Amino acid sequence: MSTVLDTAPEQAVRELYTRYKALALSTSASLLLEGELAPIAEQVDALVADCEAAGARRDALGRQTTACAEAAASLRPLLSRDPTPEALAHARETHLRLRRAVWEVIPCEYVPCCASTHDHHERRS
Amino acid sequence: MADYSIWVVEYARVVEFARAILTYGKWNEGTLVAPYCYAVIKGEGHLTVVDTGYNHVELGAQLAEGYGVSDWQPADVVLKRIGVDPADVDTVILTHNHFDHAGGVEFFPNAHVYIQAREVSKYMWASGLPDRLQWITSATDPDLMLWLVGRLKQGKLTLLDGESEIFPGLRAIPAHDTHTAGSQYVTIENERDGRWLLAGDNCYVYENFTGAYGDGRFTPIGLVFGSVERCVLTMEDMWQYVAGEVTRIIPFHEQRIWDHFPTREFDDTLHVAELSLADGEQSRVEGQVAVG
Repeated sequence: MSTVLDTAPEQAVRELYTRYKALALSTSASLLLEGELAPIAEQVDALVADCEAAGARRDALGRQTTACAEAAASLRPLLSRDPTPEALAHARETHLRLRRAVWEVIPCEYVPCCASTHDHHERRS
Repeated sequence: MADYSIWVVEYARVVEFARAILTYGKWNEGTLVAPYCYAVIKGEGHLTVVDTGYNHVELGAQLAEGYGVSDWQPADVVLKRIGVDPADVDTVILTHNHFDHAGGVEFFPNAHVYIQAREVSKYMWASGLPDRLQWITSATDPDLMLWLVGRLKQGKLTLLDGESEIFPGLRAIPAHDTHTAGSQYVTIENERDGRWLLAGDNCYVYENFTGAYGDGRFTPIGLVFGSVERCVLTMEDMWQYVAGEVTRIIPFHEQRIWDHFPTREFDDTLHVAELSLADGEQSRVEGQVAVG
């Protein structure tokens, strides 16, 4: 987890965002399939802590790390097995906010974005 | 057996879609127009859509830009052309969870949604893999999954475990480990006019069946998250279902649909094709319906 602190800000955001996405997918899939949620809770807490630590760096991309911490934290109420509609709505809202913020500094990671012909580096300017 | 009306509605298109994606192996052979469509099935007391299109905001807009999607219209506009209000749709069958098929689920607030459980479970598995393997999940987004959780809580989601008869004569057939891990296609058995098959992305164009060079050798699609072999064998199942009458298989990215069936082109150049009309149902492509 601490490797995030040793990397460039953009790379740190990418790593945190990747971890968040995996947890968001795991959380929702576990809720749909009645899978185990307890192991996810530990990882969510660790991610929130890492986002906060990364955000404290002098050169941090603060908006992105804050958005990632918020999105990760919004998964926590979903791990109760029976999340409220409000908790689900909040998780979706923070997810969208994070995604928007992340795409300001790293390329859209979805297929087909990375198969397209546009210059990803243009997005960074 | 049942009596369903079936329409295919075009909601967007890609004017320059790489042929290599539509048909495996057609590298450097240029592009084709690829419509983006979904199907509407009416009958047996139900109004069903197979796939939903996408919403042209946020991720949908981002992906659409990547693919070069144009002429997008929301569900309320394209469905009005066949006299359907999205709020009246009671059933959504998702062939798979890619943005252009499942990204419009929110347009159908009252529908019960059917998707293969494997389309969910495989993403749960893949999300635990190292970052270097996350291409596997790169076509899905947590937002749809979170939305599905909400729909489950409302009692309006069924995760299918294999083949299922949704309504009499209307079946969801798994096509696992093909285009996606939990893909499915939909078959319809009409007493009046026989069998139809809504392919999802288990084929993109008729050429997948007729052969890349017209030799009759099945040639799969060029974007496969599962196994190419499974794609070809699934195509065989599909072909057998329609007894080799390939135009009874409906690929949602095939522009020649408009040549094979009664079709109306609207002012925005998008199309509606009428595959089958149940007894007593009025045609939607002969000018009876006012267009938006």
